[in-house]
Amino acid sequence: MKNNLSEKLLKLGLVFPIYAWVTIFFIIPIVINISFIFISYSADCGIVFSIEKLLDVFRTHYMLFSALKTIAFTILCSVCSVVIASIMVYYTVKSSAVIRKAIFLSVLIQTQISFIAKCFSYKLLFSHESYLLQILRSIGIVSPTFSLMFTWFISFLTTLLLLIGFSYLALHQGLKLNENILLAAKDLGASNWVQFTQIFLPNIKKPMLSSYYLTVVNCLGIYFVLNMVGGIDQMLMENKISDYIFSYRDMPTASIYSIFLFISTLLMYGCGKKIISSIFGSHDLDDIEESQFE
Amino acid sequence: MSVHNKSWLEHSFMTFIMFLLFIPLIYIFILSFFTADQDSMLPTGEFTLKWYSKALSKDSFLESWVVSLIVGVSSALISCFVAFSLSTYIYLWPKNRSGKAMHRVQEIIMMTPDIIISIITLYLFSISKQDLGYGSLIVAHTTSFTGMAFLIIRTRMRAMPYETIMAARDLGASSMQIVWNIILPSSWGAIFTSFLLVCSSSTDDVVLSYFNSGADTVPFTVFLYSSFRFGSPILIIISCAMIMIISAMLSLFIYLIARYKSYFASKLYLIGYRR
Repeated sequence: MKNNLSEKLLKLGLVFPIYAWVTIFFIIPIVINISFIFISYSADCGIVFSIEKLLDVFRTHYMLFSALKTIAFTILCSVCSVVIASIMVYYTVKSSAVIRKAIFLSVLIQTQISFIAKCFSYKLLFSHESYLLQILRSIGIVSPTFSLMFTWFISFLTTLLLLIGFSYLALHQGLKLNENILLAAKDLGASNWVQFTQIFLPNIKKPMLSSYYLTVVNCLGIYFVLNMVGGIDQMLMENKISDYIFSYRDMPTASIYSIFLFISTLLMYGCGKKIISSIFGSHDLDDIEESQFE
Repeated sequence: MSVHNKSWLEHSFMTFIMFLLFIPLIYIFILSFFTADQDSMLPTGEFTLKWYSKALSKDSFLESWVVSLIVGVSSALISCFVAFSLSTYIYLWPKNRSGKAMHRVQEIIMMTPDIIISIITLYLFSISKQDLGYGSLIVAHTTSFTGMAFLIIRTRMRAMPYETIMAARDLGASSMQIVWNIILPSSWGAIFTSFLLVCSSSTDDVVLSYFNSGADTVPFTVFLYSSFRFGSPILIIISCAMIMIISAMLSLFIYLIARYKSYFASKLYLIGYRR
């Protein structure tokens, strides 16, 4: 009887902190966020319930365009970084133990450095007065007026460079490929391309997915990169939300954008889960996500 | 025939990527020691540490480091505690629905972009008429990073043989004793790793800190982000160089722990066992 009571108390003690935290600091605020969509303020009536703001946002089609742009940018950056990281991991697998450890440690250090510090360093590298551009100009590869800053390409490149390390680490940690298999294939006359596509890639399907998810999550969180190197034309949905809150003080519109972004992210995640279960059958996404922490 | 022989194409690809990843960082690092003019971003010939001493004597610079550290450590402690509780609950009672439901919620929170967590915390604090500051920062960071801590601790627990728990139960151990004497000592390594990861992610985060910092509680990343607009270049360079040094040391520390994890795990297990 006493044991039963203590077990119930233990159960309650273990599950209560997370329930309390999630309810107070995630579920209730999300409900508040949704309710902000339907609240508008007028000088005559004060705070009133209205769906005008929601209709206004949908009438312009700008939000849909912005959402599509955000999703496309995220997917493009994530896919490219996973592809580049796969080639880097392939190189690492074929290297000797010392080089392998050295590459792993350097990428680990690179990923641990703050995003903002890295972003600033890339800004220095690609700025109009940078040594890189001065060399390219002196060789004559680019014209004296050529500038990389504040273009779509530089936003993409900077985001990609910030994400490659994460993709690499996730791939490297999840990889369970013996280099002897590659050696055997080489002995049997397989070319580099055949080794990469027929042996290496099929062995990293799972780590590739976990790496892709990790990159997507990170990519959605570093929208400030576009503020720093992309300029005003490269704004994504997150930049718009930030502008609506800090510049225009328009909470309802910011709420609409944020809820739309939240739903888009969940849909992306849900669809990804469906695809994964159809590819791997009984394997769950948990196993794929957790494989990188093993 | 060795597998280590690689084509020139592979070598040049890897060199190019490593060049892009590291040259800008090395350039900033060098610049921090060789810049003479406060407004210039071009290196000069003479070695100087005067900008470091100037930055370190600036109050706002040091205060922002302290804020980042307090927020990072606090949110890491709360995250680890909450994540450990949930992982233990799921491990001991795997068929219980409330544990599974919370697991799914954690997945959703992990996938949620930082900006949404920032906004909802901002709304919550403004509706409850609370000032933004340490409270809002810790809440936002903990909500965002608990999922990460949970994933690490749960992975470790899944690797633990459940037969040990069954044997302890057969020998008359209560659930509390099982948690205290078996699960906690075996999970020390994972708790420590998740603490370090949450702490480093929290001190690095820009978005959560930017939305939820108060007037007197400006974390270092927000200080740096604001410096991009209004600060002098040399201050940014020094800050970036310092971040790099700390990050490199932290990465090396994590790497060494991972490399000698069996040794550290046995030490941590002994601490738990002695208690």
